[in-house]
Amino acid sequence: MTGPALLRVCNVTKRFKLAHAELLAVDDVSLEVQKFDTLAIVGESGSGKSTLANLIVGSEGASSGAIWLGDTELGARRDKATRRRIALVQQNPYSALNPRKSIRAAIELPMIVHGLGDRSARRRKVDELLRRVHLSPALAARRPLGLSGGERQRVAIARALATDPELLVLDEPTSSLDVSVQAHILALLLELQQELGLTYLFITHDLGVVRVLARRVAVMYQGRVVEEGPVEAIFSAPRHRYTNLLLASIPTVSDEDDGVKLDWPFEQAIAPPPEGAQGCAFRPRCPFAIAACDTTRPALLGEDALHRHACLAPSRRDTTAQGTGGIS
Amino acid sequence: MTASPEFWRAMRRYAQDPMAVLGAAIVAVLVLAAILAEQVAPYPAHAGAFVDFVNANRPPDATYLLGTDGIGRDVLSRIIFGYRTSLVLGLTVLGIAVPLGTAAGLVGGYAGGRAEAVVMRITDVFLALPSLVLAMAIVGLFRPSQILAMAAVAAVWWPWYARLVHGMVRSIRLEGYVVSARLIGASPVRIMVGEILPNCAPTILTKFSLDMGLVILLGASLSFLGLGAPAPIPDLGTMVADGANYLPDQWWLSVTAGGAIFLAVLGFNLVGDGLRDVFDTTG
Repeated sequence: MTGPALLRVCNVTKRFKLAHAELLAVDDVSLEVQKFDTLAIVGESGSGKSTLANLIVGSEGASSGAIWLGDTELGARRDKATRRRIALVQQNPYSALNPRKSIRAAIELPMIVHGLGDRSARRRKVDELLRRVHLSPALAARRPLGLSGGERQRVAIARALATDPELLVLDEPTSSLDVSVQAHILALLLELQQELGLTYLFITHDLGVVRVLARRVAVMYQGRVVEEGPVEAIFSAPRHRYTNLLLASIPTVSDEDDGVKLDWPFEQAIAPPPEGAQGCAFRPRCPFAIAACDTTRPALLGEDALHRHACLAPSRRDTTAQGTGGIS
Repeated sequence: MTASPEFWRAMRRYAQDPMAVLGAAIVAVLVLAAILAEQVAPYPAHAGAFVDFVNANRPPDATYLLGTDGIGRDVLSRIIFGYRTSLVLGLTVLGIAVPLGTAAGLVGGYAGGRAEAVVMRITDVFLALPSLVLAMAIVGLFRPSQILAMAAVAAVWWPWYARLVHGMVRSIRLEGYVVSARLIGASPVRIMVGEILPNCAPTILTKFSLDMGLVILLGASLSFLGLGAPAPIPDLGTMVADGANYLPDQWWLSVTAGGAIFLAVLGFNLVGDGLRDVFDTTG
């Protein structure tokens, strides 16, 4: 490994109590993110990736397990000094900024809350942050009303950087933006990481974006991490069958066919695992299941030091066909 | 904070609505008249315990534009001073009810859980009782006075603001900027006052304006029933009630006082409607 882990997620489980049942949103997840690295967490809706992000940023507390940022444990209650070190960039830039407050006030708020700098120092910092995200400091006096989605997301990123955080949790930061704007935001995020030495935890369902931004990927399915490894390995040689499905689901337009091609024999419907299910959660959708899949829940095992997967009937290493379709 | 471009844009849009401008004009005239009553009223002394039987019961003419009452007091002067009574009542009542109801709604809506249940059940209890009946009961318990009338109306009025603000807070607290402020460690008070309240302010202001008319009406109803300010303080509701004894012969007593109430309610309602239209489009 390249350095000390900045973020360590250790056997974290999150249960939600529903009216009649219990939902296991995050099921015994362990992950590490190295300093200056970018880990992408991918998975479909309901895979638990957003809940995991909520646990890390502290809007919810884990049912069991522990999350560490360096030497500090991240519970749901955390002191300001800890909160300062993590920032969140949300999915929807239209809801992220208060329509009745100026952009300066929005970016200033974290500094005021944390007592960073006096009035003029904050003023300079807001101008500097706006320049960092390639917006004009002249924008500071305006309210978000007339801003585009991309501009708003830049302001949200500037606000996230206001406390000089170490870890940026990016919850689908480009999914509600136009494709052309997405590319600019991704370029900005890459640039900021380089300049400021940031560590990113990146929640997304867009594998094309993963390729651009992330160095490592964790694939989640129904609350569990089913595969984790470097981006190149996951894209070129995925082992878990669910990763295969995700990669195959990237819509591609081939030359031979007219339309969008999706040929993979998976069930698309998400079947909730039956009560007290023992086997693999992906079993109901997996055409490659073997007998053991019904009875054994596969553990996330290292195939080498960097690449782990939880599949009893994995793809062979040379299976590369599904990894080529992404937007690169 | 200086006025933003959005504010001036809103003002321009308001100015384009003739009814809203008319309402603003009415309100401005009434407020000015009430403030400068001593200077504006033709016979300021008639506002108090003044008696002039020689000129009693005179119909409107050039000397007494709206006539005189049974003891010779100029009705126009008493209406102008009556506006002062009414506006003081409205401002005092809403000055108590709006902050109280807003605070209750903010806390209930943001805190959730038990605090929310307690605040909103108390609100429901107040809202379940007809406001005039409740206000009458409160005033009736004690000797009628202006202070008591205001307290009674305020007591029945704040729950409306609590409910209004509560509903807005419930949805605003899920907005990204509120989540973001919470995660960065901002205190609940800072979030409620700094992030949520500014987004409720236009709606509160609109309701404030609409309610000024309604509170004046409720205050007048109380004094019509003899539960308002005691004589000789000029009060529009009392004037309508007194004049009703002399209908139809001395028609100007009730009609002018009633018309004065109508004008005030109309003015504040037009302003409220205008504000609502302006704020609706800015979102």
